[in-house]
Amino acid sequence: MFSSSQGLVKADNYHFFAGWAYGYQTNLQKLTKSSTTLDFDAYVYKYMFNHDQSYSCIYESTITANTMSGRVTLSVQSKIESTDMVTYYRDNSDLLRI
Amino acid sequence: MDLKTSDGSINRYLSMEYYATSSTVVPTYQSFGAVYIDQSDYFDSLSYIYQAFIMNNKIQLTRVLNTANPVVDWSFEFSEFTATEKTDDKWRRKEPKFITTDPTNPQVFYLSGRYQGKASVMQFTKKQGNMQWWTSFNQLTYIQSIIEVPGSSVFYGCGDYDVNDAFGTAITTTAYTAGIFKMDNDGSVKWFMRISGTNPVSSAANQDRCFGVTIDNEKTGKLTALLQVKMREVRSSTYNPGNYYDTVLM
Repeated sequence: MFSSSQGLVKADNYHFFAGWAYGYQTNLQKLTKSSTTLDFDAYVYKYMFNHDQSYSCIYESTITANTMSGRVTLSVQSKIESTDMVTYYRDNSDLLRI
Repeated sequence: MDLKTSDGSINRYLSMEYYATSSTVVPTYQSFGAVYIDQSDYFDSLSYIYQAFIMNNKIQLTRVLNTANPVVDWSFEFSEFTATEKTDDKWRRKEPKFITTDPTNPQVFYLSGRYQGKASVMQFTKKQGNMQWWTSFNQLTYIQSIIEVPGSSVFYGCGDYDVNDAFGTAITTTAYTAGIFKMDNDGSVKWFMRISGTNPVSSAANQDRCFGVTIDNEKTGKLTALLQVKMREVRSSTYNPGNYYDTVLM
């Protein structure tokens, strides 16, 4: 599955995410396509966290917070600025344009 | 196109064209979605269209009066970083992707995307297009999503860092790490989150990217991110350990 830019919105308790894929499989549907001659279709999924499992449609698994946090590095503002993670430009003339 | 939301009919169709276009002078254009219609300007109550696109590999940022006879109110062409850049120089790489606003300040707007090879967010005044600040991320190449927060001066975005940034490298094989950030309307980055795992196929590049962020409002303190990752650490053993993307909502 590939995700699209700005591909996530939330409305009420539902998340909607979109992208494209060559084929897909859920508990209710299956579409098989060649992985060598790619033929993409767009998709939109509607998802709710902590949903009743009786409504489960897509194959999903929960990743523990500990597992995910091991893949994440969080930097706060002081570290961002002291380690040059960003460069700030504050003057209109910093942007060269005509 | 300016569409009528009730029935989808077209209110106005605006096409921008280089003033000296001829049968022999035909610029090439690229657009990435950076457009915003302000229905009532804070200063003169008129409607303006703000847009950014690429013409002949240079970013154009314009404000056009949104009337039956559109008038370009102001327009800027971003200059290249130096005059000695090579064709494949990363400083040439750019992508004007989103134009967003500040719910707490009607006098400014933001242009975000990629500039001089790096993910960038810029704040401009609406009236004259003056740049107020520009924040350039040294560990982020693309901005894939950016969201305003209703009633708040802060905003969130995410994207990915093309680690090697080698020109011409297929997007399917190059290495990426994902990044999520929070910014305030003074241009400061409040926090930056880097997300990176290990490709289940050890011989393939690590490819972790972020394509969406969303939030109800600042008070809930909950942000959701849409990740597209290849991480053996998070993929269930139920599934094939192949070199393909998993979609993760975090």
